Amino acid sequence: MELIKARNVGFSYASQRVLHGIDFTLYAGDVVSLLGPNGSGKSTLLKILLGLYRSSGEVTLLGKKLQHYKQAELAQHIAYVPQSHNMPFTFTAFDVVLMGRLAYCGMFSNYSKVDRNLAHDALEKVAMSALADEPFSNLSGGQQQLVLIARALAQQAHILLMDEPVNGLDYGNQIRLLRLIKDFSSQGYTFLKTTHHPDHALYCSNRVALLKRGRMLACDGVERVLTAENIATLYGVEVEIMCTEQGERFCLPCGSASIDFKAVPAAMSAA
Amino acid sequence: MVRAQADIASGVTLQQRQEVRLRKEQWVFFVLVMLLLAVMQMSLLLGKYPISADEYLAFAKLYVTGHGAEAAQRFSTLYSVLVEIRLPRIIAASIIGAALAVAGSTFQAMFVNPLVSPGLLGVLAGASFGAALGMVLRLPWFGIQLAAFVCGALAVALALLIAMIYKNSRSVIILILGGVISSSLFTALLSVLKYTADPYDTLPAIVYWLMGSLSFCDSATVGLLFGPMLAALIGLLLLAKQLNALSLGDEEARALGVNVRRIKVIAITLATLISALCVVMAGVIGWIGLIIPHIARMLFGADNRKVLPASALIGAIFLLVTDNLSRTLFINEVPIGILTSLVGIPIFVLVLKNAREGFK
Repeated sequence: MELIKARNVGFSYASQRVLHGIDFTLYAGDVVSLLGPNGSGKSTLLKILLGLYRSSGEVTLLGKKLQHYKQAELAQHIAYVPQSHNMPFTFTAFDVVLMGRLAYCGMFSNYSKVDRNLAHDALEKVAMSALADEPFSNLSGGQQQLVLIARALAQQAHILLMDEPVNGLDYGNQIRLLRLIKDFSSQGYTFLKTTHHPDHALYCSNRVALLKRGRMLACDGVERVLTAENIATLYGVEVEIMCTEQGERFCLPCGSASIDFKAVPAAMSAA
Repeated sequence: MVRAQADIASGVTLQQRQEVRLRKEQWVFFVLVMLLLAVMQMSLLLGKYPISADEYLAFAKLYVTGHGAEAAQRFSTLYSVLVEIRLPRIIAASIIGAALAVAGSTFQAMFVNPLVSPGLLGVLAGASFGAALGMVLRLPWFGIQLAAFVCGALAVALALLIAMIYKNSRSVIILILGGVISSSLFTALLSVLKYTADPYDTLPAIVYWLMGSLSFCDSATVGLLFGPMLAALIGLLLLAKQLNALSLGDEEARALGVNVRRIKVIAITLATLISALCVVMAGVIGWIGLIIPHIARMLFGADNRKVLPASALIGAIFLLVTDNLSRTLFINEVPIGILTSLVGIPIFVLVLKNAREGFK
C-alpha cells in the first residue's frame, strides 16, 4: 500500500535550489534508508514529507494532498524523530514523551489518563521507564534518541521519519537502535531514515534511496541500489560490497588511500 | 539516575514515584496560595494610617457578612482607607505581578530563551511613549491610559511587521530583532517628548510615571481592567501544553501536531494585551517578567503547565511585598519600579545558581 507519495518535488532555500524533480513512494512496512553526501538535501526532503516545508510538485499521504491535512491530523499519521538535541529548558523524559499526545488533545484541555498511560507504555517499549523522571538533557545521546522514539510511539503514528538516528551514538547503541527499528518494522511500523552508513542500510532496510545534489540517483531494493558503483558515484570513494557465508552483506572501503576531499561536494550551508 | 536505579531495586514503580512528586508539587502550590492570601491580608493592615486589630475585626465582620453599608457608616475612615484606597491597590498589585510574570514565562518559552522579558517586542517602550504623549498633550487621565495602551499595541504590531518582511528567515531571531528595532524607535520618540516637555510639571510627571507606581490605580481603573487582565491571564495558562512544544523549536512543534502559527498569534496577542494594561495601570515595572519565571522553574522544572500558574502566584506575592515596602519604607512613597529592581536583583543573583538547573 502506498503511504506517502511524492511526485516531481522541488525546493529552494531563498535562491538556492536544493531539490529537483524528486519522485519517491513510501510503502506500508518499508524501512527505507536515505543516503547522500552532506548537503544533498536529505533532511530537506524529510521535512517536506513531514509537511513542514511547502515544496513545488505534489506530496500525498494516503492519496490526499499533504496541505489538505490539519497539522494535528498529519501528526497522527507521521511522526518526526529528530536528531537528539539539547533543549534549553529541562523537561523530564516523561514530559517529552507526553508531548507526543498533543495531536490528540483539544486546544485548551489537559492530558488525559489515557494519554499518560500511552506515554508510560511507550517508554516501556523502548525500555526507558527507569529514566522517565530524569531531565532529558541529563540523558546520553542514545537514551535521548530512545525517548524521542518513545514520543513517536505515544503519538500513535504508523510512519516514523528519522533524521540520522544513530548520529552521535556509540557503536553498541547504534546497533541496538537499528535492531529496535527492525523490531518495530515487524510490528507494522513504516520507517524512512536518513543515514551516512551504507552498512546500516544493508543491515536494516528493505529499500534504499540515493540523493545527490538534490536529485534522486536511485530508489529501489537494497541489493540493487547499494552497489560499489553507486556508492562511488554518490560519495566518490571506492568500496567493495562483501557477503558473509550467511548471506549478510556489508560494505568495506578499499582502493588506494588518496585523500581528496574535493570529491565530496562542499556542504551547503542551508542543509 | 542513581536514584532511579535505587528505586527500581527497592520495587518503587514509576507511577508511584510520579505520584509522590505530584503530591509534593501540590503542597508547594498550596503553600504559595496560602502565602498570597496572607500577604494580601497583611497588606490591608500595613500603611500610614494605623489600624487596630479590634477595630479591623469588627469592621471586617460587618463587611464580610454583607452589611457593607452599615460598616461604611460606622467606620467611615476605616472604610475609605481599606476599601477605597488599599483594597484596589492590593488587587492591582496582585494582578499586575501575576500578569507580568506569566507574560514573561510565556515569552521565555516561546522564544526558547531564558533571558527574554515581556518588553521584548516593544510593548513597554510603546506604552511609555503613549503615556508621555498623553501627558504632553495634556489629555485627561483616561486619555493618557488609552494612548499608552494603543501605542503599546502599535509597537508590537511594528515589530511583527518588520519580522514579516523577512518571512523565510529564521523567524524567532528576526522577531526578536523586530522587537529591538521597535523598542529603540519608541524609546527615541519618548526622548523627543521628554526633551520638549515642560520641565516644571510635565517632565517630572513623565519621569515619575516611567518609574512605575501603584498609586496611579484608582478603583475605577482597577474595576475596569481587572476582568480583561484576568481573562487574558487564564488564556495564557491554558496554552501551557503548546508552549512546552514551542520551546522545542517551531519545526518539532509542528511535527507534533501543534498549529504553531495560531498559538504564537494568540500568545503574543494576550501577552501584549496584559503587558500594555499593566503599564496603563501602574507605569513601567521592570524585572518581574524576567526573574519570577526563573524562580518558578527552580521550583517546578520546565513544564509550563506548572511554571505558568506558579509564576502568577509568585509574581503576585513579589509585587505585593515590594509595594508594601514602597508604601512604608520612607515618608514619601518610593516608585515601585525602583524597588522591584533593587529587591529583585539580589534575589535573582541568589537564585541564579539553582535556576540554572531549569535551562541549559
